[in-house]
Amino acid sequence: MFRKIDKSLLMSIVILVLVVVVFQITSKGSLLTKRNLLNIINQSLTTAIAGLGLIYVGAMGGTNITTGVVAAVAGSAAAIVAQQSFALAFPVAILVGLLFGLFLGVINAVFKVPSFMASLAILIAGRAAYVWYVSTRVIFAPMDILTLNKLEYKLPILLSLTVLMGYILEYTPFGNYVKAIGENENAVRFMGISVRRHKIWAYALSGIMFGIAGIFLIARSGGASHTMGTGMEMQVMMALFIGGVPVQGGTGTKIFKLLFGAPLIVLLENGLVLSGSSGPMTQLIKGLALLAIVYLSVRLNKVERLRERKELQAA
Amino acid sequence: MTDSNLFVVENVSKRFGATLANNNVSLTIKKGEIRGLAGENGSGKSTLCSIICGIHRLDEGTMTKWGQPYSPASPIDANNGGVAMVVQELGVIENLSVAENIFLGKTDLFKSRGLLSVEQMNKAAAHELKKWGVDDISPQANAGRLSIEQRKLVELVRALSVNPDILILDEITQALSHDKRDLLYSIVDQCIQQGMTIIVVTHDTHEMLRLTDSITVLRDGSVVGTVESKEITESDLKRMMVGRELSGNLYRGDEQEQHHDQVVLSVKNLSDAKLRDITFELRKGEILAVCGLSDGGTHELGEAIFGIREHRTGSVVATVSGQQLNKPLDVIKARGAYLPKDRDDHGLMLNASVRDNLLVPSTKRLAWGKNVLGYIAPKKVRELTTEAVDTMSIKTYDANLQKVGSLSGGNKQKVSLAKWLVQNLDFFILDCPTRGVDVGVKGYIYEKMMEAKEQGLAILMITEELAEAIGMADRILVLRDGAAVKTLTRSEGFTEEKIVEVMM
Repeated sequence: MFRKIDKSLLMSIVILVLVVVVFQITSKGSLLTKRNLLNIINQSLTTAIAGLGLIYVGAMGGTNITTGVVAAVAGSAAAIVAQQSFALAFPVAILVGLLFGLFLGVINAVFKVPSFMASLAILIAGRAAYVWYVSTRVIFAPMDILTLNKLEYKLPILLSLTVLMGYILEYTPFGNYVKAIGENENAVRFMGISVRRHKIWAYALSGIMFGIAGIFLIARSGGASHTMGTGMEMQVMMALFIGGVPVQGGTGTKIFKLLFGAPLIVLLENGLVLSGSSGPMTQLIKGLALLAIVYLSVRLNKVERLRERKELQAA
Repeated sequence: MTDSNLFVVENVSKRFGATLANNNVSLTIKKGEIRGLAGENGSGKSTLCSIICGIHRLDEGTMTKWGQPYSPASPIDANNGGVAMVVQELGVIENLSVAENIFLGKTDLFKSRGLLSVEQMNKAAAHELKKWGVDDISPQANAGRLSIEQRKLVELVRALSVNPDILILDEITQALSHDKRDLLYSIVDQCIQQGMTIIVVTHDTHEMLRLTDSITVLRDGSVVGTVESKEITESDLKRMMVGRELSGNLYRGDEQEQHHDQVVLSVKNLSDAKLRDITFELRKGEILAVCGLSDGGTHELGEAIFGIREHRTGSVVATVSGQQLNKPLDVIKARGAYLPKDRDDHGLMLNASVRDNLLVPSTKRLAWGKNVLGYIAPKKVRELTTEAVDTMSIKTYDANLQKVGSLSGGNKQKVSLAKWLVQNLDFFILDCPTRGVDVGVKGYIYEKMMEAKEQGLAILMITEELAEAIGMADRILVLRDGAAVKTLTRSEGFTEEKIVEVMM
C-alpha cells in the first residue's frame, strides 16, 4: 500500500505541513486567518493557471519562460478590447497566447532550437516591444475585467480549467503522447506518432494558458505597467517543481502536483512577509528553500531507485 | 600442468541483496584457452565476468592468476593486472574521437610539455587499429558517427590496447553482422597466437561452439558443468543451460512455405542513399526474412519502409487499403508496425511503467471517437495492460508501477513486441526480434511469431542470425550493397552456404 503513494507528492505534503506549522508560529498566528488564507488562494490562482499550461511543456522535458511577457501582452490586449466589448477579452487573450505558443513551438520543434534559448529570446524581444508600446500609452482595465479579480469568479474558472487540463493530460492520447515525448522522443517517433505536431501544440497550449493568466494579472493590477508579469515565469516554474512535477518531464507529470505547488510557493512568500522578513530576505530564503527542495527530491528519487532494485532482487 | 599456467576461480560467491548471483563458483582456465560461459539471462555469467575484471568485489572465495593471488579492486586495477573486458552495453563516448576513446583515461601517455599531443595519440591509435586488422576506421573519426558494429570494434581495440593476457568478451557479437563477426573471429585467433587467454560470453550457442575450446555452463548462479566444445552438440548445450528439455525444436518444424496469396505490402523500386531499387511483395501470413552483410542495407530497408529515412524514392503500398505509405503514421494507419533494432533507445521508455509503455501506441484506438482529445477509459487501459502482459507472459511484479528499465532483457523485448501484438495488425516489420534475449525467451518469441502468422499476420523479419532466418522464414530476401540479389523459398531448402554465397 505504501508503494502506491507517489513519493514526490508525499514530499510536497510534508513540506506544506512544515511550512504552515513554522509560519503559523513565527507569524504569531496570523497565517491561518480566514482573510489571509483567501489572500493566499487569490494570489496563487494566476500562478496555477499559467502552470496548467507550462506543465504540458514540462512533461515533454522542455521549458517555456515566456510566461510573464505573454501574460503581459495578452492581458493588456484583453484590457484594450474589453473597453469596447468584454466578450472579446478572453478570445483575444487566448489568441495572443496561442500565437506566441505556436511561434515558440515551431522554432523548437521544426528548427530544433532548444526551448530554453528560444523562449529566452522571445522573452527578451517580447518584453522590449511591450515596454516600448506601453511607455507611450496608458492602459486601464475596464470595470468588467476588474470584477474578475473576485474569488467567486476566479475560483470556478481555475477549477474548470484544472479539470479540462487534467483531463487532457491524463485521459487523452494527446496527454499521453506529450508525456511519452518527455520519456523518450525516439521511441515516440518509432511508434509512428508525429513528435513535431504534438510538440507544437503543447507549446501552443502553454501560450494559451499564459494568455488567460494575463487577464487575471491585469484584473489584479488594474492596468498595464512595463514591469507587468516580470518574474512570473520563475514563480510558475517553482510551483511546478515544488509540487513534485519531474524536472525532466515524463509520465510522473500530474496536474494535482501543481495544485499543491502553486499555493505552497505563495504561502512561502506570504509567511515570510507576515513573519516580518524584508523583501530581499524573502527572496533569499525563497531561493534557498527551492535549492533544498530540489536536493530533497533528487535524494528521494535515489532512495526510491535503490529500494526498487532491492525489491527486484528479493523477488 | 603447473599452477603458473592456470587461472583459477575457487568457491566464489557474490550476493546482491537477497539474490545469490554467484553461488560457490569454481573454474580453472588454462593459459591460451578460449573458454565460453553459457547460461540463460540471470544465470550469473555477467556477474562472474565483472568480478574477474574488477567491476564487483567477490563476497567469498579466491582467484589465482598464473599462480599468484588475484583480487582486483577496480577495472583499472584489473587492467594493470593484465585483465581486460569488453562489456555488453557500454559503448563508446560520442563526440570524442576514436583515438580518444581507445586511450580514454590513458591520455597521459601522450603528454608533451603539459599538453596532449593529439598527433601522437592518433598515430598510436592508428597503429593499434591496424595491428588488429580494423583498418576501415579512422582514429580522427567522431565515435558518435560510427555504426554499432564499428563502435564495438573500437571498444575491442580499447580493451586490447592495455595488452591483457586475459581478455573477456561479454556478448560482443550480438551487435555484429556476419562479415564483422569474421573479423572478430580473426582478431580472437590473433590474440590466441599471442598467448592470450579468452573468456567469451554469448547467447549464440552456434557461435559458442565454433569459437571456444571448452564451455562452462552456469545456471541460477552455480556451475552446472564444464564441457569440451568438440564433444557436445548444440542441443545438448542448450539443454544444459536451460536445465529442462526444450520442447522440440526452437524453430518451426515444417519444410514448406505456408502463407495466403493475398499481398499485404508491396514495395516497388525502393531506393535511397543506402538502398538500390528494391522490389518485393509481402503476403498475408508470411514470414519474409531479410539477410545481408553489415553494409548490405537490411536495417535501412526496414527503416525506409517505415518511412523514417530521408529522400526515399519508389513506392510502398499497403495493398489491402491501397494506401501509399510515406511516413510512420501512414504505416500505423495501414495497421502496420515496426520494431526497432535498438530496443532501449528507440523502442522503449525505460523510466516509464510497463503499463505506459504498452499503452502509448494504442491510445488513439482506445480513445473515444479515436480522437487525439478523446476520453480513454481507465477500464480499457487496465484491460489492455492485462491482455498484453498475459499474451506475452511478461514477468512483472506490478505493470502499473514497475519501470521497464528494471526488467530483464528478455522481458523488455516482450514489452516491445506486446505493445504491437495487442493491436490488430496486418503486417509487422521486426528488426532483430531476438537480439540480446536468452534461449528460453527466444523460443517463446518464435512461438508467438508462428501464432501471429497463423492468424494471418505478415512479418518482415530483418535478422543478423542466419539460423533464425533459416529456422523461421517462408522466404529469405538477401541484400547485397543495398540491392536485393536473391529470394530463396523454404521448399527449396535453406542452407547457410546458399545464403552466404549470394550475400558476399
